[in-house]
Amino acid sequence: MQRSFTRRARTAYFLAWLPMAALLSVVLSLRGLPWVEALSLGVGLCLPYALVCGSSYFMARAMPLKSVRLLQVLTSLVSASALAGALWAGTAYSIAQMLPEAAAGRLIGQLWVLFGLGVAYFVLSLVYHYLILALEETRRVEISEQEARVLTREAELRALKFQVNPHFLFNSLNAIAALTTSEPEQARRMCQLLSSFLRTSLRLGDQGAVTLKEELDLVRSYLDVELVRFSDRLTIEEKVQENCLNLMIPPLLLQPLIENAVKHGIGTLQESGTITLNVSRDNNRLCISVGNPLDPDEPAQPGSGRGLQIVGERLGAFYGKDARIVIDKNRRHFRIDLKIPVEED
Amino acid sequence: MSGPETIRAIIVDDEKLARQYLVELLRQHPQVEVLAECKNGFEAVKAVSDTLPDLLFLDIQMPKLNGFEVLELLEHPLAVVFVTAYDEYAVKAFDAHAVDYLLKPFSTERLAEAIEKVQRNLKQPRLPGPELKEAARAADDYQKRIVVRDGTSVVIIRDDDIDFIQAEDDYVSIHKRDKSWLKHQTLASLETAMDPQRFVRIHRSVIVNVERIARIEPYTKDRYLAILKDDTRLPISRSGHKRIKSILS
Repeated sequence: MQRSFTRRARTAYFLAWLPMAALLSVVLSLRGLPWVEALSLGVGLCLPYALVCGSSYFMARAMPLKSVRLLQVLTSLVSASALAGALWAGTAYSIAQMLPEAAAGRLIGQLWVLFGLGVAYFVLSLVYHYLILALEETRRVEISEQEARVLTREAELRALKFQVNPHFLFNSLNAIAALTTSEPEQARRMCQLLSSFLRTSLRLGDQGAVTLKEELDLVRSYLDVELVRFSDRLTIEEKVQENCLNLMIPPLLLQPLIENAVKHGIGTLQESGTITLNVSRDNNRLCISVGNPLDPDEPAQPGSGRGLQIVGERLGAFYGKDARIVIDKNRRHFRIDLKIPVEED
Repeated sequence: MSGPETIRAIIVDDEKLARQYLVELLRQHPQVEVLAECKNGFEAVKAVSDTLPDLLFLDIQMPKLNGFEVLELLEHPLAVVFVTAYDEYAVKAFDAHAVDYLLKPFSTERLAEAIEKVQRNLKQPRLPGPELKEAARAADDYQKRIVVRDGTSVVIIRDDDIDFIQAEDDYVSIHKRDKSWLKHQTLASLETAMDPQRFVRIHRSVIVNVERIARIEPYTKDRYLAILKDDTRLPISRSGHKRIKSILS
């Protein structure tokens, strides 16, 4: 892209010399030269001069205008322009030596005009190349800004990605430690359940999107572990419409909601409690609803707000404004509803 | 002094397996006698009053009262060992004069170490004071409820239920509609612990829930009265008037 831009700029540069040559021819013919002579001199002189003026590209690159030594730069540019103009006039003079006398006289009469136009052409070429470089620079900055934005976005998404809650891990390990002597069979099963949950979450976390079925499997393996810890304190009621199972969702979207429900719901209750999970499809929307009872004395937990915020940000990153979160909360109950656009497999 | 003294202990944890693990490991320490196992903060407060133990093994995240709130309600000096999966409370725990802090799952060696510390500390058991509550609080995380004892039971008062709090000697009385409870704590410590945008100290002896104020009336020169929605009248001092005005405006 960068390269093709430079190439296009170079083509435009040489094409721009066509009107320059035409202009020179017109000027020469106006000054009394026969038009054949004016045209051939115009083209013949401009062709090599286009290459000479092309060197202004390198000057422009070597001497950026924002440099602190602006006066020095301008002086060099002016001298270079004068030198180029003189060179052009000199070339015309050498050509004149090879022409028949009448034509030579006519050409030598135009040396000052050639010098003036030569300086002007060189200056134009300088301006053109400075502009091209400035454009190139802005494009480069834009591209790197865009790249930076993409990188930040990716980093944000990575940070928002699910991480296994360390407390869940430590509490589960503690449960295993307790079970090893009293119920070794159950301890072994708990190790397997925990591994299965960890493995599934690592696998799903690496994917861009997963089917609802995969996410539900993860949720179930998480709940299997929690059921060992909470035993009869925890009940699950699950209603999932069959036609939702193959819909795609961001990975690890549902699991943190269930974990919230266990931690901030069931974990605060003296008695036992039921977590409800409903998944249904309403035309083009997938509706996921997670509900749990709350202890009426429990103040809002600072941690749960952050967890829900992450879910919101992830939905925003995946669906923009097309996804909705509704939270219904009173002292004894908490429910979160997600409505997300359907993306079929 | 012959042989180790018996340590009478209570275990508080909402997870049955966690209690079971601790009980099992304590069998290697016959000098520790487990008096009771409690599965929430309410049971813990009651069990401590009933049995007056030397030692409390205390989880932090529990239904009803958390570990710090349990300590706040104790009237009996004892040694506390926190047992939790959360390492972020360690500093607060030691501020609360905890003897030790065990991270789940802990080893038998680590438990032995904790019991040794308890034995050394047993000579001067301390009553964990109300300053605990401040220790238990993160900088931007204000206290959202107050726990008090009501006879043998424990009452949890959510901050949005509180009308006002009044200082009475070494106690504060917390008013919620027509009821009030006394708690051994200073008004100043409550003032710093609660959300200053919602609970304002309008007088040396009064903190009011801003939402309950119906209007403010002049009383004498420099003195004002806060009239609450239920017509309770509370005095406002001069500096209190400045504070409440800046909150209400």
